[in-house]
Amino acid sequence: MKPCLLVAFCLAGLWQSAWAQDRLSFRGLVEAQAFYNSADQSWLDGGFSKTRFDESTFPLQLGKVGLHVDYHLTDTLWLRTLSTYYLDDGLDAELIETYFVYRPAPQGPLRWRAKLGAFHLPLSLENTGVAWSSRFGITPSVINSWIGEDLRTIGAEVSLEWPGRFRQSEHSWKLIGAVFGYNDASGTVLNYRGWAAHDRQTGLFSPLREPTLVPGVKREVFPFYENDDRPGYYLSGAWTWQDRFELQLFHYDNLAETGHARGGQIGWRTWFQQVSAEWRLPHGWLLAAQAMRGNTRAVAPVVLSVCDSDFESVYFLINKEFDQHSFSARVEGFAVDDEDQTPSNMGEESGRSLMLSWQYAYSPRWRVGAEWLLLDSEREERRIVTGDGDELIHQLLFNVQYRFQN
Amino acid sequence: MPRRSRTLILAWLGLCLALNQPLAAGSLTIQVYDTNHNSLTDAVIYLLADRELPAPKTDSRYEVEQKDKTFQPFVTVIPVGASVMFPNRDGIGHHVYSFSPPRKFELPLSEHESTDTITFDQPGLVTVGCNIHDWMAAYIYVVATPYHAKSDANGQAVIEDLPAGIYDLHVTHPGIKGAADQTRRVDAATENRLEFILEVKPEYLWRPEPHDEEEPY
Ligand SMILES: [Cu+2]
Repeated sequence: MKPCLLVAFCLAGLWQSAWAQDRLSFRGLVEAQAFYNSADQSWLDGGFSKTRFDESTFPLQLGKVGLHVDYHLTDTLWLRTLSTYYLDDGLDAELIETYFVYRPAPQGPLRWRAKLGAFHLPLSLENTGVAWSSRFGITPSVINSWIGEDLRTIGAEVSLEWPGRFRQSEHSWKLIGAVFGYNDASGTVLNYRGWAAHDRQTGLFSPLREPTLVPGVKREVFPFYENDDRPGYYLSGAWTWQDRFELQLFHYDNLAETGHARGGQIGWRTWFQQVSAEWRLPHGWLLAAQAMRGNTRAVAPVVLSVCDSDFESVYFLINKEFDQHSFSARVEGFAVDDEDQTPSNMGEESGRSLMLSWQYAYSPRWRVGAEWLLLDSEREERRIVTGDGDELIHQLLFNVQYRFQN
Repeated sequence: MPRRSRTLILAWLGLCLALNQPLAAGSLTIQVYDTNHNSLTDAVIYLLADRELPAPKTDSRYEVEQKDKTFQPFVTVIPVGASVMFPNRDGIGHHVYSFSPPRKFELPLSEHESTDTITFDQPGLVTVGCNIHDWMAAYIYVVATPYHAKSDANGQAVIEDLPAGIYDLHVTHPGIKGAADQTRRVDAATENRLEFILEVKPEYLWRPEPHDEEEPY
């Protein structure tokens, strides 16, 4: 994409001096995936299937290439970018994140930090690895897939922390608040496609596919899109006990104005709340869960027909680290309830999945792993279009990952 | 030798020893346990007195290095006026800071960089952190006395060359319960081995575990 190219040029220009001054650092990963997948047609190809691959995909893929570049403008101000490259959709490199981070050294027991630019929302418990990769396997839960594909903070975020360590307390507290734009289409995909489980992120200037209803008519939505010039916000509060148990509450609202259109897209008012918890137990055991529920609503201009969908999902995950091995199991459920008064309930869906995964860190650079995903879902739209609303997907994935950094 | 003169010599020697007593220097060994009677490492012992103590030597080299994203050593005791170096022995940058009242400072260090030393002119506890790796922590105790030591892995600390006299012995630890040190009046002429039991908070409260999370998403 062109903006990505622009960033690349800027970085190349700064490279020479930056390198000498030790101001530039990068790290990233390259992952190859081999798989068996039983799905009909992936959402990525305009189908209804919830996975990234389907039975017709060539079973050996360059799963992802991700690159973080950090430029240290000063010791406390960094410019950070994340770009990715996916082969499966014929697109170029994608720019995922680009933002300034300001991290002043603490002057007291309270510390604050700020981000300005475009970056991921701070609410995933799975995707905390390099290039937004999952630390528990390959395919994240539908919640975290959605965060990576349809949500992005394009604006400013401030966090305020009160770490217990500085006052020898068992309790640490953290507050996060953000104001952002380019959010008026976030949530659309949950209505038109529903939840999905995959390890892709959407580029800042790229669209997300929606199921094809009329053959030959490709449908897509640009999620990072400004329609009403009205910023959205999110607020988060987190409590950590003993560095072992963490509880986070999150409220998001894009405050989109419904009922008016710009550039062929309309605004979708999307809000949600999330509760997440992580519990680190002795002997390498870990429990994690995220539960989200919210609503997305749009009013088509002129005809004033209303789309109104509640969405919700929850997962529970257990992980055990053993030497360089990491074993995870995850169960999840998800649903979209069509709340509008139109006669059909096209957007209505429900589903559940089970994931078992093993990842082995052979060395700091090389990782290998395997994952089995069983995903069962029913969707009204699929029943209307194909005659069969149910789909049970088996996916067996193997990955080889190489990590690099300067 | 006649018995009488032998007694005289012994008496003379005894007198000499008695007179010399305030000047004689010995060593004081302190054994520190926690409340479960496990040896407590990284306890800090220092001796103060009502009289003026000799000025501490401040020319020793003290170092708190950054290695494998942790500070080493975890606890350091230094006399007032001493300087500490903070060499970065990692292939990545660190941003060392303190906001403790005795000495506030900020030291951004790129990979394998050692900068000038930091001098500590005020007594007290200085908590050191890293602004890039939030879990990194080290403690520097700045004490106004030349007589100080830190307990080793067996919970033992030795103060060498301690002139006889009365001292106020302080024992403290980064995880000590309650803000105050444990203190005891000690006569260095008669005591050379002491035991202390310190109540410390659970380890996770004062010795943070290293994380390998690379990115705080
Ligand atoms: Cu550091």
